[in-house]
Amino acid sequence: MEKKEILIDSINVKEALRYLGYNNNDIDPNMKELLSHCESDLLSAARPDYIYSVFKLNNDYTLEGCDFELAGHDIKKHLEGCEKAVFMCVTAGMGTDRLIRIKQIGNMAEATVIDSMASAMVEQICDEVEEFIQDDFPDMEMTWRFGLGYGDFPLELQKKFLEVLQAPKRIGVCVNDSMMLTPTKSVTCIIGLKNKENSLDEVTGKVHNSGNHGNDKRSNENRCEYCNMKDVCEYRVRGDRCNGN
Amino acid sequence: MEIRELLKSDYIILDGAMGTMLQGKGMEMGTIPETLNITKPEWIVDIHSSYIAAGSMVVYANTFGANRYKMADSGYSVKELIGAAIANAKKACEGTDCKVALDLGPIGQLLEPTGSLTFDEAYDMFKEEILAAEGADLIVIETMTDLLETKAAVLAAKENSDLPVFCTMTFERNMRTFTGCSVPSMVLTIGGLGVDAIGVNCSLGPDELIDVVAKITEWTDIPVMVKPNAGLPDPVTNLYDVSPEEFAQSMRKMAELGVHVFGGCCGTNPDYIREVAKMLDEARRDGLFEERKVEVPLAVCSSTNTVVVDRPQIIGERINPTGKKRFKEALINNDIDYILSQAIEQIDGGANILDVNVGLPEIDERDMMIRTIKALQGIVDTPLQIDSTKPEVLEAALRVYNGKPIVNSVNGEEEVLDRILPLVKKYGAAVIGLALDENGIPDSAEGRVEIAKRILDKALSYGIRKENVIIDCLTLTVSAEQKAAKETLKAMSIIRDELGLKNVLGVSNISFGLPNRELVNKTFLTMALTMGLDLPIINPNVSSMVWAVRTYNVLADIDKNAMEFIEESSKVEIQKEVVKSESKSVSAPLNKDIKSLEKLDDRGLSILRAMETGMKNDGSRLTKEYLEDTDAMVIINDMLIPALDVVGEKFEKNIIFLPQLILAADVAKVCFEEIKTYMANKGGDTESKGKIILATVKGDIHDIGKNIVKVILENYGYDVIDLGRDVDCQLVVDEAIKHNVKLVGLSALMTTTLCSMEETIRLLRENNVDCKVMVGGAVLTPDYAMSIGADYYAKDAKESADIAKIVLG
Repeated sequence: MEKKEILIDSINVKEALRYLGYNNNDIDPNMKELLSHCESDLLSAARPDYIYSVFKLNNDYTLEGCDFELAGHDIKKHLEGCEKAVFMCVTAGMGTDRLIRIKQIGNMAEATVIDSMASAMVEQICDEVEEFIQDDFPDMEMTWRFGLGYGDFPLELQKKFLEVLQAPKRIGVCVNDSMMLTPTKSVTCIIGLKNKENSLDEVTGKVHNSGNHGNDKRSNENRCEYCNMKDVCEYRVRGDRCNGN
Repeated sequence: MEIRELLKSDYIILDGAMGTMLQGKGMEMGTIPETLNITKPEWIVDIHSSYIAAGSMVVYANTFGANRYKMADSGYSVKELIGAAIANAKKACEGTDCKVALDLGPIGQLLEPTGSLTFDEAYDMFKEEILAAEGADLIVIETMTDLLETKAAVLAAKENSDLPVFCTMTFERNMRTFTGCSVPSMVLTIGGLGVDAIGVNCSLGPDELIDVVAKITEWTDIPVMVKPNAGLPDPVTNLYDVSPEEFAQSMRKMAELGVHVFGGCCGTNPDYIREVAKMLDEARRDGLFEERKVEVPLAVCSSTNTVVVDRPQIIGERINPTGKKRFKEALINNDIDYILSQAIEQIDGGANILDVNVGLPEIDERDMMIRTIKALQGIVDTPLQIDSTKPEVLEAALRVYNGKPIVNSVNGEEEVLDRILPLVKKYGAAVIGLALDENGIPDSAEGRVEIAKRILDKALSYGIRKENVIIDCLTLTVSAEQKAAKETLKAMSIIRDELGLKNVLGVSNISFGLPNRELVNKTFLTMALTMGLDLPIINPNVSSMVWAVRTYNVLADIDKNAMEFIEESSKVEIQKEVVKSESKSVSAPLNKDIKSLEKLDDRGLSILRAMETGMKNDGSRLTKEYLEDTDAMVIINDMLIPALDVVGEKFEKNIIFLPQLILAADVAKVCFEEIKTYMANKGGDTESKGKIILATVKGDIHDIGKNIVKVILENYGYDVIDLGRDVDCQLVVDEAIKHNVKLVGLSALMTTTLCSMEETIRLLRENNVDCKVMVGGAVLTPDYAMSIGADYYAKDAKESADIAKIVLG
């Protein structure tokens, strides 16, 4: 079976504007023009790509056939009750970084807009890949995306995580010595898969409420609890959330 | 038989996958495969042996990732792992003719500008691996996606060993690597470095790679190699979908294209190699293997863009300080952004290649050249022409250039040729030969052709390919020597017709001392094109010159159906429309309760309107207009700064947002640029409000925030010394002392890089640097900023300007 292609033909502009501090403010015609211009530049420069691997999760939180330690308390809590763990990495590609770099020379305003749009785009790519995964496992329920560096799940595992996925070779995503992903518009995360019965139990409260697929609000609130920025987050001050940006 | 001998035979069979075989033996994901050389040597020997039994004539030692970076957590040294790997491969080869290759894969970190690894660091890591590979018969560089990293590996191999070098990169369906490197760019660049075989591995299955391989064979007569995957992997099961028989059938198509070296990558096993060996044996009996003859045209490239000189291609001459005060000033002040803006302007104007000359007595030309080349190739994909008389400058540039450049230039002097041509050969560049020597420029066309011949012969004797020699028959000023123009033109036609070489010519000199220079230049350019000029060196910002070339291309039947001519013409129409619409007034954001508005007079309000609507042309036009009767400092202090204050106040009150704040600053930048140019021409200096250092700290490569701050600060009249990103802590200290800077701004995006920020501040304090420090970045808080010793926390770009006002006034 061939790898499914990511098709993104428009950017979630609303999300990008939110990153820029807009809060349902009016968009003047100049800004509209700028946005549509930036969107088309980004869509032609970006090359969305992804890779994921699915591992069976043992009771002791080791992974079958994979030498990777799920270190810390929080990732284990996140995967509680799951049968499988999906390792996932997505990127908007090097062309995106390059476009932002180019724009910074002559047009910083566009660079800023495109930077935010690219962040929104990475989220869109993640959402699409989640759908692919759901298609692979139609009978299973998915948890939300738990990123490396969330809570006490060490960011330092980034290098090994990418190696497990062969991400440098397969999609060109690497990490630098400070654990920043390159291209910069990339994301790594782990998603848990659990049998649907488990989630039925969850409703009755028998199993811990770790998986919330299909309930965006709840899952994202959950996400904020693990965030190291939660006490100073400007989005939260506004009663908003960043969605991982 | 030695490898280089083997390459003369019909074909060479390599091995198949190592990783796939190791997984078959039970290796878990996440295990570092190279450690198995020591912990499971019997597995490795067994895998090699099974490939040799299947027909492999070369096996790749299990060293793909055995570099310092990837092996950091393996518990073993590079030397131990590579030593063990070669020993294992040698053991398997005992009693056979099979050769052992040191296998070099990518380092696993991205090079600048996307990543932070430097060319030199990459080179050192490859060198370490090569020096550890005692006993190997050849060096294979494979699965590469970054052309510059590949170049670092090839240079490390060639400079630290005499072994043959094979090199393959990994292409995707769009015929490019992840970094955008194209097939011709790879072949021109890596082939030019003198590898023994070149090709493609991994990527896709053999059928999907046919087009890539066909393209490679079009561009080189170096033996071509291919090592495809066993089809495409299933994303869930990771299994590949092409059988050994199908694989071999597809590989026969490769043989028909002229491929010489065959193997398999991910998903293949000895069965695939056995089938390939069978197929090749049949192909030999069918008489498939003939010597390949390829004619390669003159072409230069960046990693993503190849320019073939099969039609006139414009070389932009503007990156050159000669006679340009503003450019000199930029060089002295290390203002790379100005140089980049010059590049972008020329490309927009129609340049196909950019000449790069940064020679100035006041600066370190070598250092500046390296920085300029690195900055340019991070931004533009136009191939570069490296312009210097100094061999050390040329070599430094040739090393870090990510592509195949032109060297500008040599001349007929023996000593110059012997100094520069070996560099041209080593780095696979093209070279311009000026038709002059120690006796000056010959008057006659024949005299110049004579020198051109000498240059060509010498180049050939150094192994430079003929197509890479370009001749400059030299333009003399027609007002001083009227007959000379005819001689230049005549010489060019002889170079084209008799020597079969390409012509390059700097055109603008012709009109020196005459009125109506543009017309003289344009007419001479057109005459020269008809006489065989291939590479006019001109100012592409003068549109009549660019249009002369485009028109020539139509009239000379080069631009078929005038497609390009028509397309470019329509672009001009669109631009005119844009200019028109810019002059229309667009409603600016509301002005409620903005105190700073009171300070603006009518002129200031016009500038404010340009800023608020982001109209750079208006800003520039207004500034020019005001400069005619108003002192520059008055414009800055009474119009630009107060207008920026209005915009800043609106930003604070959430009337406008970040992109609009920056748009306004961009307009202000254009206004300041007008003033700077005006002052530079007048010989005066704009008064600086003070110097500020900005840096994104060590380890941090996300610098857009810092760059936004830079735009804002510059447009308040501060001189910003931008140290860039991933900046060494000590460098900030050194620069602060050197420039006597009173305000340092540091940015960090991630928690992992905050420690570098803290360290930088600590060093500044420890060295008693008399400066204030402001910090900013997504993960910072005011409390944290104070706890690491910063003086100010800036929550956004606007606030950084407020802080600058407090500190510097």
